[in-house]
Amino acid sequence: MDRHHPRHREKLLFLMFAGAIGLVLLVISGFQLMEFTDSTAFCGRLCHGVMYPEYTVYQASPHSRVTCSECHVGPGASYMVKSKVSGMPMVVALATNKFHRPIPTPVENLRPAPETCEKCHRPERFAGDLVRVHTTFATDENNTRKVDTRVLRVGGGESEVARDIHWHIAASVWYLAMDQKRQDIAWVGVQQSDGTLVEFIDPRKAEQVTPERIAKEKRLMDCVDCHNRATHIFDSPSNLIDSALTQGEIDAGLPFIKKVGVEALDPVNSSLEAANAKVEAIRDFYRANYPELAQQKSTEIDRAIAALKGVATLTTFPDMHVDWNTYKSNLGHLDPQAPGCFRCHGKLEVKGQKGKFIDAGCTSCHYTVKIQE
Amino acid sequence: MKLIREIFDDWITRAAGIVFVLIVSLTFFNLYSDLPEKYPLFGVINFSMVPILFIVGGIIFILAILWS
Repeated sequence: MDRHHPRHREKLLFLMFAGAIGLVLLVISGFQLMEFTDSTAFCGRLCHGVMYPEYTVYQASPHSRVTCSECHVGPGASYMVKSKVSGMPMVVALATNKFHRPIPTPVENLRPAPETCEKCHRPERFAGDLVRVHTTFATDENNTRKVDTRVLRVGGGESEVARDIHWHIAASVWYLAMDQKRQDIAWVGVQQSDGTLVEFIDPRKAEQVTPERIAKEKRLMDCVDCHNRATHIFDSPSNLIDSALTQGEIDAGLPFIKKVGVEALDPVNSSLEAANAKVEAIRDFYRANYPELAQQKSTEIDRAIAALKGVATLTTFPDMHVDWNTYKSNLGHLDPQAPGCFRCHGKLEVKGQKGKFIDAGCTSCHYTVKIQE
Repeated sequence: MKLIREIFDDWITRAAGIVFVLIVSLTFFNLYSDLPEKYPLFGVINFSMVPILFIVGGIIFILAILWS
């Protein structure tokens, strides 16, 4: 190209101009692309079949306004590069249809709680008790209501003594888990203000708990050790129907509604369509057994069916082999398959003091109150 | 018009022009449209097109320099 030739100069100027503008647009588009790949639509819907259970329950969760990337990716270039690189094998697994069903919880790859949960929640501000009213309904004709009012000792965020639930993260509590899911905890070390450790150990596993293993594998307790299902909450149909009845989405005056609702959705159906068909059949149940009521309360029955279809959406994931027993919550201790608090409490004893276990008394964490209705 | 005709009098500069227009259109489309959010697969293809077009444009630029 001859710069002195007028036509060549014009061409060169155009190409340079287009290149410069193109470069600016490339930067803008690159930013757009990165932003888009961090969006909830991209994470939840592009890999629709795989992430469908997680995405569905996320939308109904208390964290539905927090984007996937805020917890799973993180801010800044290093996190972005890390997530894109670690995501490549997942893309290959998806393309070759070689992924686990259900998807294993990425316990070891989760970002540290101080960079996620604690951006909004301040542990040191957890003080005082929390009154929790837990309402359940029986599967009898009257859907008999049972109210359990309990005061949870959720304070302790500023406490320096071992007291109340959130003390666990206010203090430096280290632990050693013997399994990948962190359900089998065999050692706990509580750091004292003078730097020494008060140790607790599972007497049945004392031989496996070596100083080398503790040094290598110990982990500082944080939010997700208890709140491991803060967003992707897979609740059972029974619990979800109880919530819908409590909130009035389902009329508790419909006889046997809890029973027929649970029967339609538990055990898990072969597809969402099958679940919805069973829920629709509830209308026939009322027509056959309560014909007058079916006419009088047709609106309430329609609303109940709509609410139960919502429950079906949150509980029916046969393709990914996910149900309410798949991912266990560490909160509390009511599920025999998920010991929760009892991973340590009542199981580990003070090192060197045989029989002196970490307190597992009910009143350590909660007490009941009677409230007259 | 005469200037434009003179600049785009060969196929390689015309190709560069088309790529440039495509890059500008796609960028502005991606800025203002919510279709990529609604249809994530379309979004991925759409957002990936700009870097691809930029590379194509770069190749055309080099070819234009060499062939002239």
